[in-house]
Amino acid sequence: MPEPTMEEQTATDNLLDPGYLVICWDDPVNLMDYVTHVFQVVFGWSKAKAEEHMWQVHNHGKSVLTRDSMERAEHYVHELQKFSLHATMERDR
Amino acid sequence: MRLIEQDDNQFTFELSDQQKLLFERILKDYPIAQNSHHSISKSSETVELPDQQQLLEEALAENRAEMKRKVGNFLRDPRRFEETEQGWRVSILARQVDWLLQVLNEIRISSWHRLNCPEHEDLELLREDPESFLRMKLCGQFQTVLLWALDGNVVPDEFDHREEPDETEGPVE
Repeated sequence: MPEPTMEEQTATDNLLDPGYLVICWDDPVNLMDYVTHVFQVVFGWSKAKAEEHMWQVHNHGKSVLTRDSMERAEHYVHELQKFSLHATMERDR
Repeated sequence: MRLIEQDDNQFTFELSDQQKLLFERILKDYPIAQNSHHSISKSSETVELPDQQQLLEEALAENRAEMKRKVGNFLRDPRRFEETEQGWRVSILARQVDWLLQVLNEIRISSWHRLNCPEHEDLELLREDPESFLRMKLCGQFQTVLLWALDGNVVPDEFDHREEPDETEGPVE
């Protein structure tokens, strides 16, 4: 079996490296109960944990929801944005 | 609009004539914005993630088409609304609540964008763009009713705008 090239190896590493933060940013329009509900649906969190992150968003302007591989982070951002939450993935350096 | 019955599979709400009209009108208008910009990342690294940005836009477009299909089916169901002496009853399956919340929120956000993303829901906005302002407010109220129902709660009084019985003729002390 041929050895993977350096480029292929890097691409695989990027996908699996848990080096991406999923961040939810504050906006003045989403209802607090709605944000809590979406966190529960997307991450399967308890209401208490979801509320804790909702309050972080509300009080501090953002909350880091999870740190994961590029692929998983991308999945979470898709799901959160489908619910119209302002969520992004950022490289954790 | 208020919750009157619920079991594991379904919620039943009671609506006035006006509330039914508004609920249907709001859903029929979905989606208000065909294309809105969504960024996968805030950092300058976004330029390093062009594939991810494109995938996000495709996923959101697909999701919007799916939501539109679901809204159409929801409104076309002849058993959806049942007329009663008090007004109307609407039955919503538990699995439909999440996508209804998603749809209502997207309409709310689109209306908020049309109002230039105000920090507060000031009544001044009602004069500038009444349609967007009222749509934003109504979506928020319908969302609240659904969220409270999911939590097993009745709706707070401020969201139930049906006429209350006249209590002015009660016993005089």
